[in-house]
Amino acid sequence: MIKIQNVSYQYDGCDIPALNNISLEINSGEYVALTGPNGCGKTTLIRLLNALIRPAEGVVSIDGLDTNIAANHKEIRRTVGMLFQNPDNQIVGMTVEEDIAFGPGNLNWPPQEIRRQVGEILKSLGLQSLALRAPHTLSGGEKRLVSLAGVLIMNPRYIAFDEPTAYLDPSGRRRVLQMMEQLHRQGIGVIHITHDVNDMVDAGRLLAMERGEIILDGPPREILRKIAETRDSFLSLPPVMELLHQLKKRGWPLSPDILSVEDAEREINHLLTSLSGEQS
Amino acid sequence: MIRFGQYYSADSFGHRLDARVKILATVVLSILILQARGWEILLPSFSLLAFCAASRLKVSAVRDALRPLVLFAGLLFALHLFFTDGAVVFQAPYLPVAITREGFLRGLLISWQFLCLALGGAVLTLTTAPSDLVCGLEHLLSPLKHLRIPVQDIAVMVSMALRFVPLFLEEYARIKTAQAARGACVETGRYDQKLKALAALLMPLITGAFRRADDLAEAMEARGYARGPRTTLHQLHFGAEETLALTVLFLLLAVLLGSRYCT
Repeated sequence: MIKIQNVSYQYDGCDIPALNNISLEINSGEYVALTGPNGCGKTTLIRLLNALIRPAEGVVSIDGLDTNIAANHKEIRRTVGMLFQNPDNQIVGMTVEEDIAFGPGNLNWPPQEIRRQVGEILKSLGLQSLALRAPHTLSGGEKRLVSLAGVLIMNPRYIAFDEPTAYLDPSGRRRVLQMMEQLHRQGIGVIHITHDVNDMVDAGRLLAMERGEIILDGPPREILRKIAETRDSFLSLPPVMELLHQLKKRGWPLSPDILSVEDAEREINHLLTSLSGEQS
Repeated sequence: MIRFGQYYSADSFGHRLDARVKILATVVLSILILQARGWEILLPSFSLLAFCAASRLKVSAVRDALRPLVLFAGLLFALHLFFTDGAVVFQAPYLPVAITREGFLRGLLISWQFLCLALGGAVLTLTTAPSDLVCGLEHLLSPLKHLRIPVQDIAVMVSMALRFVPLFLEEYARIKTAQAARGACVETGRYDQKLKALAALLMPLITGAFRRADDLAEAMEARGYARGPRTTLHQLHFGAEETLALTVLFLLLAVLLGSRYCT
């Protein structure tokens, strides 16, 4: 379990704290969507989880390991994988396989073991044909997958994704999202920073931040419904939810619990059958 | 892109050979080439050609690698041709320029040496992936660790530099296009305008590089990088082929040294 207790953090030369007295627990295997306007502290929050920064106040512990203790760092970095916004700046190796081997090399695995595991990871992500390619020759989606492979090989229990679908075309986007969903099913805790409300709908839990504080925390269905009623948020609703809410306001008998196209389809079908029932 | 000796993967004796042996061979052959007097140059030349054949290098790849250097070799030849004292074989009318026999031979030898050295470098980089090259160098230089030289850190730095060269070239092209779109005279315009445009090009490139370096350092740290010993994917192997290559290499060295000092 990830435990964040009363954590504040302030960057050097900044007047306002990036994080302001945050307390949070994330269970292993949870799928958490994290959202908020730019500069609200989302990235700072996930940097805490990997011990890239240490809290000035408060405690961050990852499966019981305190990030303030330097001796824990290697284990913490193995436990929490990080995928940054720009994969170009994350890929270190001159070839794909070499990049994937970077983390295990830092953990001093023997070369035979690294070779074996790299082979397995490449196979499971369908990247074998790219093994010897230079990173700059890959497509955006491929680069994401390669940086993901470099994290997965260390067998992490949690992975924090910082806007993993930014700059991707629809097919690359779908591929990355499917991969994240699959990781979640395998029991890996996923923390997904996103601005896209469609990505939040399927998350188990939605966290919204503003000015270094967590302002909303709960199941996305509840939070979005509340927003649809109050309209008091930086979040915009999924278009289908927006549409059905407008219709509901005009007196259509619709349930407020509509997030996805599938929900809407079911709801409209239901409505149509009941209407035709009344007519006949 | 830099075309000089760009690695292309293939399965051949030359490609399979351990990078350490290849680096060592390049160094020894370079010494042989630089030491050679007169006909002795043929020995390392033929060894290099034999290695090219054993690596099944495409003639076109070798030619492309050497092409930019031929001009320079020609210049070297011309310099020695005209500026060496000796038996005059041709005197230009009205001009103080003379071609001597010694100059001709010396020019031939030196330009040939130059091309051979370049060929040696090109063959090394054509048959060895950059990562293997770095790994081989790291192992060859590992005795320096005892002098407290951080060989492994240097190896990581070198491979990182090689990784980011194409990225910077991309970025350079992108910034250039962006500047040109806003009317900068990067390629056209007067000399001073070009210079100004170049400065305007370098600044964003440099700041971009620093930002990238920051991100990269963070990403490396996030993946558990710390100074100190680390392992790599590469398994070095020393088998029959390596023994054969080293034997041939030392025979060459022995022949040359023998001919030099035993007669």
